[in-house]
Amino acid sequence: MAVIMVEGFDKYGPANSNSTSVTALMVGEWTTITAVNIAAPLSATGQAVTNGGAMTLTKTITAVGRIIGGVRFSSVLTQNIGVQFLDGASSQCGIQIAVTGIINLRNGFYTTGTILGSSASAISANTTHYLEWDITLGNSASYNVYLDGVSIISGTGDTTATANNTISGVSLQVAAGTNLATFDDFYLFDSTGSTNNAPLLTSPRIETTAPLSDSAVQFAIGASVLGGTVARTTTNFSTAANQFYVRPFTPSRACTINSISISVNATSATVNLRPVVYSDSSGVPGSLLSGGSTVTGITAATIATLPLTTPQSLTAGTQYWLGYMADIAVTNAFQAYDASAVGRTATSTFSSGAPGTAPSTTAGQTTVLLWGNVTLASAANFYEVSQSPPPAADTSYVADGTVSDEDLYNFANLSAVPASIYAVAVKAFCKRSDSGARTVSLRMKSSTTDGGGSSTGQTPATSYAWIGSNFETDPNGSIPWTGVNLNAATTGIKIDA
Amino acid sequence: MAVTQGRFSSVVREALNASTGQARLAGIVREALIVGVGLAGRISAQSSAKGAVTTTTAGVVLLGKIAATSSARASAQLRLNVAGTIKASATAAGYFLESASLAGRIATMSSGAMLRVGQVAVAGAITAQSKASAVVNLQVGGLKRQWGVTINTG
Repeated sequence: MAVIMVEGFDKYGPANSNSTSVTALMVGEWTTITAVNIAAPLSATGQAVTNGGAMTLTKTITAVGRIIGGVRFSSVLTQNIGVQFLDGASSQCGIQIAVTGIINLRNGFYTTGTILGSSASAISANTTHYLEWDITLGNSASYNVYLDGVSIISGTGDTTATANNTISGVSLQVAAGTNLATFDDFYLFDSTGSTNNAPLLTSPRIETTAPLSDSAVQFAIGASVLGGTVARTTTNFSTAANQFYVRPFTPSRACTINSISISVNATSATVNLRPVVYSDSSGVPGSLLSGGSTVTGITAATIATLPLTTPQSLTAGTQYWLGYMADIAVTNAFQAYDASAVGRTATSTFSSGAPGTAPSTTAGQTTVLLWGNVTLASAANFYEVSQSPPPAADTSYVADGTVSDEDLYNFANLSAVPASIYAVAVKAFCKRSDSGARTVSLRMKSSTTDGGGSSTGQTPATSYAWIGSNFETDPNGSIPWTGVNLNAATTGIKIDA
Repeated sequence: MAVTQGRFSSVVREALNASTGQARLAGIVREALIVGVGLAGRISAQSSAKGAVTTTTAGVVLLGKIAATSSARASAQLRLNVAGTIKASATAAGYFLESASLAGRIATMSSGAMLRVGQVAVAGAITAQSKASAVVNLQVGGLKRQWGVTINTG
């Protein structure tokens, strides 16, 4: 093993200031997730992470005596940020990007430990750099810290603060504040193996791709969804008496919508809700397509699902309006989805039922976190597993319990064929349906060779979490990856036992 | 004589099975760790990077000492850095740049021109002339989000 971890921070979806949601999305990939938000990327594609407070993002690893890695970063330089190397919960050493712009390697905690070395010059605020390290753990051990591919700190010294000459965790940290630092394109190597055992020094980046179509599927579709299910903001939306609320959706595939679900923030035992589906009429809701009977009561942190009396078929590429009617005001009843404010509201008497023609609505309303629970007109397993970000619940998934069954998907091409591919990781957001035994492996099929990478026979948790497997070489011949071969390879998941 | 009956009102079967749950997959991605583009070290005469190779490049970095002329041009380029000491002239020109920085000591002339720039930073000592212009967005030193700014010094 040489690659311990690669993390592009792209798989958690668009910008997200709801740290609770982000934590749920990062489970499995990271061990400790505190005050992490998703931000625009520092490199070409995807996303990055920023701090939503005093940020700690820690990865627990198998103990190593030498740690190699890198991360792209940008800092406002108003708070300490850094990389902390941990032995259990104890600090061994850390790299500090101080508010002065000077970079320090310290024994112990990254902001207060004894300085082992400092950069000769300071970085400027809000500039993006690639920081790398090659640190041996010991009382008199070598260290080297690089900035943008150039060594800025090197020497020999005490890189440990515990009795162990190892680390078992790496943590990205921001001392305080909000949106004061951004991290992207993170990798960790150890010094074993014949490749990926030294700092890359090439401003490396991590590009994440997702399934585009099915290649060979055996898993069954468990649930399909229209719309995102993860809150990207912390704001809420209140119902009003006789409120009519809709927001637009455009399905990418033909489907039938069976019910509408809403993410609930507040409890009300008496509120009455009714789902509504309207056609689009020149950009506003038009005719009623389907409605449902009354559902009474909502409970905080529990999804409210409103069944449609008659499931409604939806055409791919056509805009529809999904929403609800409510009879009474409930303060902060529902979570907001994001800050787009594409909702529309009107006043419509609840007891009169869903109007056949939508009333005149007021635009610019909060985008409520609601979605459609659908059945695809034609099965497409890639659809369920390529929603972005991955749903944190059983709203969109495929499932299988038969040993040797395998789903393989065609993936999007890299944005450009790179000169070098150091490694590829496959990451899956998955779980077991119950506590029974079940193991899986993540697959990469290149030409006719189907491999499981660095980790097979993995047991998913009983709650959704990321599992991963590294493919440092192309399984077809165990040769270095090329962009062409990676683009052509299919990737998926297999039931091992 | 009455016949004793056996009466039952319910019957069930209880089977002791191995519990083997399903694996549920809600998302899957590939993450590729790939090389950036770098021109590093001392360049004593002329360094030039241009053309199709950098067309969709995510990172172009010119590091170290460039004694004569350094030029990097690209279209649809996402990131461009020119860093270190440039003694003669350095030009960075690109379209659809997301981020560009000219950092370090520029002894004679440094020019950065681009359209639809996400961020431009010129940092360090500039002893002769420095020019940075951007149509959409420009950041110079502590200035942010200026539109159509041209700065000439020296």
